[in-house]
Amino acid sequence: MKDFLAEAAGPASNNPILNICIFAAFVIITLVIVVVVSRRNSTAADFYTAGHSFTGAQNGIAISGDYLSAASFLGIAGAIALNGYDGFLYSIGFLVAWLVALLLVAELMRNTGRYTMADVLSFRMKQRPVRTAAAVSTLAVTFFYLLAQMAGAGGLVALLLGVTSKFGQGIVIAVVGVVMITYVLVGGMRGTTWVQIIKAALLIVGAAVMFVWVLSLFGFNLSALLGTAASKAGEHGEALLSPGKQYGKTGLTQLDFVSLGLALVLGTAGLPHILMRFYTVPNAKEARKSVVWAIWLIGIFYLFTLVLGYGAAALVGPAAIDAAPGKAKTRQRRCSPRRLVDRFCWV
Amino acid sequence: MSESPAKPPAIDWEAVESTKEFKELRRKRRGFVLPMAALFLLWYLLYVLLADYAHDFMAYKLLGNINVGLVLGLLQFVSTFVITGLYVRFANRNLDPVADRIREQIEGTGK
Repeated sequence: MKDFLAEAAGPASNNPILNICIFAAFVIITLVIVVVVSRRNSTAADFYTAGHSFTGAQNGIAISGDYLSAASFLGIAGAIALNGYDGFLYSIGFLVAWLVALLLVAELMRNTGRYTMADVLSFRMKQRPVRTAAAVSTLAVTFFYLLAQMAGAGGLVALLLGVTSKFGQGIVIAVVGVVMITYVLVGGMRGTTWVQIIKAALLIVGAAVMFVWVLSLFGFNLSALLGTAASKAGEHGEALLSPGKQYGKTGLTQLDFVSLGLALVLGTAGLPHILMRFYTVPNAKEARKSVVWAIWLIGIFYLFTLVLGYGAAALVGPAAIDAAPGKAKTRQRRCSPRRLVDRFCWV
Repeated sequence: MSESPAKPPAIDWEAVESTKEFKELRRKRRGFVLPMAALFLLWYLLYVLLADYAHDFMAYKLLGNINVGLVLGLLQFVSTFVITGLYVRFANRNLDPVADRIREQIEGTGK
């Protein structure tokens, strides 16, 4: 059966019209929800903090939806499929970082009762220079974040909607950007929180289904899955299972890895869009609950991506993934959920 | 019930800050949070260094294809969940009652 899958390594059967319809349906449904929800916005506090009206659980789900981005899902699965263990290390850094938020940041931020990170930092200091610094930091973080998300969006668009020309991808990305801006302007924090909740539910349930599906193909035996992944990787396949494939090459890359590890664990608690979410709940205790929910959902999700990543290596094969011309985002495309689903449908 | 970050009427924050109860609350919180933060950061750093420099150790297979590296990585997940649970239990039992009491005193008497 697996040989058959390996031979069926042609382009996935793809119906762009269907994909566009599903995409449009999601956009319309979520826009409607945003508009309905935004009717309750009437003050600045409503717009920026949803009037502190979300529960810890709702906020936690929204935070996890916010956090589990293209980088988490596609990027980590792709990194694991190609570089094996070194990809798994990313998800560990991404998760452990939440303890910093839980223990040191979340409740204290909520208790300052402000709207944004800049408000909190300048709470007891000189307003102007501190706010300027916070604004620059927020813009820098957001800029790089957007770059990565847009690259992922472009890759997905090319795969799912059959748009391959650079110009076409650019148009679609611009349209997606306009839709996002609309969500935020119309819905404020309430609207975007509900969109994130919906997204988180879809993402986590979808990943759970794929997780069970992939494991079932290997008799729910993780060791067998890993073995197949290693054998698919060719000559030095075993390197896929242990650290060092991506970062172990020279002393410099090893130092690079320590730097990466530090950035991962310390960076999350400073992400401006995450910090803002702590204000959507009424008090510090609910802020704490939000982080707990987020940690559980994010942790479970990264366990899914571990299996999905090695599963992609075992079912699609790192060679096929790597053979796609271009950079890492192409590899993301190859590991896209659509591709894995197509593989399974041959079973 | 929307609130802008306006100051509530006439509460002497500095006075509250200097009360014994508030200092006790702060001490309790720091006594848990800071050592725990140091602990998990050190454990995480150990893991990163092992993954970076001890490749043979991490590649050693324990059960089938499951090697030390995978087990340690999964242990990081476990420790994260455990620390989360420990903190929630600590905060619910030790911090929240004191904080609620202080808040009642502030908002009750308006002082």
